[in-house]
Amino acid sequence: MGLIQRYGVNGRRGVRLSKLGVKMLNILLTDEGEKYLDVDVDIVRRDLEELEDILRDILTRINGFHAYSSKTSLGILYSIFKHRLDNESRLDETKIVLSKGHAAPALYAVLKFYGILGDEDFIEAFTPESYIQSHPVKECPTVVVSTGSLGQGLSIANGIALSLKMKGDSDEVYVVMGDGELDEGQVWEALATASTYNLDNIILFIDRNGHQLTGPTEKIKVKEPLVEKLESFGWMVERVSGGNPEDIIVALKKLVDIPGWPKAVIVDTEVDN
Amino acid sequence: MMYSFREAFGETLSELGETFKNLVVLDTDLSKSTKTIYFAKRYPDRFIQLGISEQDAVGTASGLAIGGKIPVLAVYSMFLLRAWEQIRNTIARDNLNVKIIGTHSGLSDYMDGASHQCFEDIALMRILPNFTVVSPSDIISTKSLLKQILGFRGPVYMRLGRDNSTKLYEDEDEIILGRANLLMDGEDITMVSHGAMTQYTLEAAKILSKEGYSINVIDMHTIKPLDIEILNRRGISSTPIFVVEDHSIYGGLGSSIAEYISTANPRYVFRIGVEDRFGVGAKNYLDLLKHMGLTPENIVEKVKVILNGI
Repeated sequence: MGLIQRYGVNGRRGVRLSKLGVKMLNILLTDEGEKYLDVDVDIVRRDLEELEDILRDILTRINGFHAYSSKTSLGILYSIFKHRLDNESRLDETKIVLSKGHAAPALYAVLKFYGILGDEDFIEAFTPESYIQSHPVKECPTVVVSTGSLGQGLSIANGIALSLKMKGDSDEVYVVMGDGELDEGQVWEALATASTYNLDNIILFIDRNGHQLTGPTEKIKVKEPLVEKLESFGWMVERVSGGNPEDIIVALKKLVDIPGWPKAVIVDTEVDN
Repeated sequence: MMYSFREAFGETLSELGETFKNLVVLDTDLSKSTKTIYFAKRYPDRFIQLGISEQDAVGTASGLAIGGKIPVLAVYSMFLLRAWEQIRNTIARDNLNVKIIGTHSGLSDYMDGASHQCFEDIALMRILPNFTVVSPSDIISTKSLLKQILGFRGPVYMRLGRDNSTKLYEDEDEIILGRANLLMDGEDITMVSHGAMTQYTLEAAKILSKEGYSINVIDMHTIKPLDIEILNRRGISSTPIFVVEDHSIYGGLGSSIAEYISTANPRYVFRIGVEDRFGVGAKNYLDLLKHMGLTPENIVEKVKVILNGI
């Protein structure tokens, strides 16, 4: 009792680590385990500098369309691919649900950085002929679903995660959500669904940049206390500062293998506009 | 003898679980009403309960389709519409293989009144690119068309009544998705219907026949894509058309046929359905049909008044 929690859904029974169990696991991490969490800060910072240049270039083509939102999501999207690279998972098969579809330019920057998109892909970018659209379309590599309407990504990711589990596929689904989207009721429906089905193959990132279209998030609709809200919905949550992008990767590595819980990384982001 | 749309649907879905191994069924806490409970009992590992969350259910169904499953989502047609935007922006836009079953449609949920009776679904679903829209008229066509929509790749909206079905076909009759069935052959006028109203349209046509009118009756069970071939068939192509449906006279099959006829082969298209109004509760189905002016006798009266006017 305590470290392991039993659960049952639709007649299926299983066990998962309790929150206490996860804490114990973290304490028990050996030197080797710590090494596993080790991230080369210099590489991360250098990669991101390069990525910022690529993103700036992309944003210039579309007159800075949702520039702030893309800039704050850049570190998150990079972390997902960096984590997969470190894990030797195929980058071009990464399953991204960009729930905040307007941050698409940041995704394109990361895809270009990792060579999944080439220069030739950008020749007609943002024209009707291209799959590089202002909001992501499914024809673009790694985009598993077209998005653009807010608050819908997590539900879709839940469905993908369920299908992966049914197939016995151990791959993960990554969702990048904005904090403004949290106003949508569907987000909370989906949060409850993920924990009902113990979808431990979902990693949700919340880009907590504090801004939504007409102003600061807390002035429009209160989001905090966000960690507590997500935890009360049955999620395993880490909150990190986007100012230290390596922390996003560490959080991801720490959470990713914990069985039985859907996992969220809230990233407090802020960039120079 | 009375038959039930939802019983036919629920039983067939459960049987088809055997044929379609990738079939998964999603529920929003309605399985006892929509009869997906039969599938749930037989295949608990392929049944996904989402609680009372239609928008989430549409998203989850989309994800399951992306993952290669054939998701069937059965919801009261009325409450499905609160997730119309999700259907539009994900299922239709990405052309996903999701089968949506809108149950309790039209006047069939006679007791529940305005909040539950749905006359707007065909209008909203048929304007979505990539969607096929189907409205079976009896239990045999419900079974047959359900099997057919599971067998092809693409999004489908299937509209079903609650109970109050009938048996217009025999098991061996040919019912083909996209091809309407001619139930009665005539020369003077053509009556077209779909879903639960087809049986009453046929009854009305029989009354009119006895009074000397020669009538075609078409069961347009596939609303989109519209079977234009049958509308251009000899004996039909020059007659006035009466479209009878338990849907708003705006945006339904009547509108769809009028849209086509106005440019293809202009002639009269009259729409008999729910006028520009909401539903209301009634103690039984036939009382509600009467209140809405959609019993066979009402239909006969309307057709005669119109014919006398032209």
